[in-house]
Amino acid sequence: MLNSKTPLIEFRSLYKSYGDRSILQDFNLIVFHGEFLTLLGPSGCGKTTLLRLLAGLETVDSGTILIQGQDITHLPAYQRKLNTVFQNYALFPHMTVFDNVAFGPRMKKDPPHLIKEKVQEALACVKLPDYANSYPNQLSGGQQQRVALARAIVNRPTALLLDESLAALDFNLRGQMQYELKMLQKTLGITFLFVTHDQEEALSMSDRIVVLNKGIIEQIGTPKEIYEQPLNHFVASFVGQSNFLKGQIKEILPNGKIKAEVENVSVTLSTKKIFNLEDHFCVLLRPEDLKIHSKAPEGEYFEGTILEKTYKGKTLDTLIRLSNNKQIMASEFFDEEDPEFDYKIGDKVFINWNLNWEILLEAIK
Amino acid sequence: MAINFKIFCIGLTSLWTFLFILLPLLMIAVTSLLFNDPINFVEFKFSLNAYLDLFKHPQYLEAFWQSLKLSGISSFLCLLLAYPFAFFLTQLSRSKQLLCLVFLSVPFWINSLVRTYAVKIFLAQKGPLNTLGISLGLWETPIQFLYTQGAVIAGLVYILFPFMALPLYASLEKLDHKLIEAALDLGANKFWVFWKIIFPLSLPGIVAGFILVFLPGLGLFYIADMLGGAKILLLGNVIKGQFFEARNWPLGSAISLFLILLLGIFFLILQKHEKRNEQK
Repeated sequence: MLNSKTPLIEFRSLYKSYGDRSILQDFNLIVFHGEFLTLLGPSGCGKTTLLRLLAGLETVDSGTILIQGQDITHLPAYQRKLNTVFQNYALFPHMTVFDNVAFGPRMKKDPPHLIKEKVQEALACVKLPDYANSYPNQLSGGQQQRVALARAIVNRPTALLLDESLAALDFNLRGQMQYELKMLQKTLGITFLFVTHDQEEALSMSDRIVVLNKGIIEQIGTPKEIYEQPLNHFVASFVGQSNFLKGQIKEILPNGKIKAEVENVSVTLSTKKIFNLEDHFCVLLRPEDLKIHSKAPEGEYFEGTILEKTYKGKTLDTLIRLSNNKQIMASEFFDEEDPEFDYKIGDKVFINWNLNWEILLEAIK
Repeated sequence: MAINFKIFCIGLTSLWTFLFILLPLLMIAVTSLLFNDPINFVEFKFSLNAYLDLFKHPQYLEAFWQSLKLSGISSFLCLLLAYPFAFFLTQLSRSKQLLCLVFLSVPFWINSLVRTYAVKIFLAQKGPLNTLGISLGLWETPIQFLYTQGAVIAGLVYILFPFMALPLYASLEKLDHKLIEAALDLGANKFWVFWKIIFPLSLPGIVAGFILVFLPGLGLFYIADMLGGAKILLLGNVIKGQFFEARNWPLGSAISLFLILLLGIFFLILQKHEKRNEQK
């Protein structure tokens, strides 16, 4: 496991702005060798800019970028051993698939027989071996995506940069490509730097996720950490669906437990964070962790009425109004025991949650 | 109603084309196959004399060759000048691009005959170019610019430049910048980016510009008249001469038709080539 902790790419106090709009300020990040790292954030958070700076398509205002310890900050794009899969693929329309993929090796002045070999291997890698003589406009979106991928991996870059590369694909294809990308990364052992605003994509593919907001890193962690232990309100709300309830600490109990008043209901919560008495805070409850009962369950619960319900196929999503008018969302899976469960709008219900799955965050300002 | 309007629009243009382009062309074709009669213009008897004349007298074929050469050189010079212009134009901000395009269209507001006179004055023995050159000490005695091949080429380039620049600009303007970035990303330096990406993708613009410059370049007889004197003949001059001076209408018609035939073959080849490109 030594490899996975070797730094490959380092961003050191990077600054970048367009005019007077600052994109990155004192940005620091280490990408490790062989990992699948995802930069996740809303549009305008600086994730694409970061990728472009790394590729050499933009210049930094100040700061350094190191690859394997070497300063490449001022190296022109064509001398960097990095390749990019662009958002809309940017395939050369006047070249065949073969020529598109062969572009990189040709620029490297590889001998023709090696070029042919490399191209065939790359096309086989993306499962498109029979399309070498087609033109990009004769291919479907998914096939074009594969060509773009083949073109980017043919030279075995130090790292592969993917800029919202799956965004243009339809839902089913995207799922399939997610899986294939992940497999490809495992086979090739190349470091993947993936940029997306799609949290599901980030969760399903990454070894580590960097959540970005306005050029600042909000959290770095494994998908599990990001989802289950979000550090703050932004991460929690950007990744997955969330209910945020307001609370105040009333009593601090041993074993990391606290007694608090949440949305006018007295409950016992557990947390590893340190809070003081009377502190205001925010509880994150994921919709799928909530359980709805028609009769009052044992222990602590909230009371509410069903406001709206949405059939989602796998789940039934319900919007519930608590007694203090706060609205929360619950998402329940249909199971074998009770496939017909349903609610009527206006039903009075009782809500509790999987114990200890609550996450306490700082109060929303 | 809508269909009638469509038929009306297409019909009107078709009628116009038929009456003023196709019909005269047919008349020329017929004329070229008649006997020459200097007094009544033509004698209505079938004859291939005009074509025989055309191939018998080397001066006509020479005029063809000279004309194609001058027009070709002018088109090429236009391309050399217009390509960098159009390319850098696309890199300016929108508002500056618009301004430059307006400047480019300014010459169209003035009749090209008038502009050719301006070129003539500019190149004259005592004109601004000689005055400038001498006062800067670049040369000592006035140089004979006027009435040379160079003057005709300069005139053609000057008049036809916008017709090359505009289609080039149009094709370069819609070039996807992402493709350039992709090429850079794949290890191409600026030279290769240009040669492998920008140039091939602007080929339609180059072809369109070439057609718009080369064709008029063959026929702009007044430029050859004014800047080339009697020495430099474009095909336009030869044809004009046959109709108005030599009064040999069949020969004039034959030369016209031969030119059309030549260009037709040229375009056919071009189109075939383009279709092949599309099919690929």
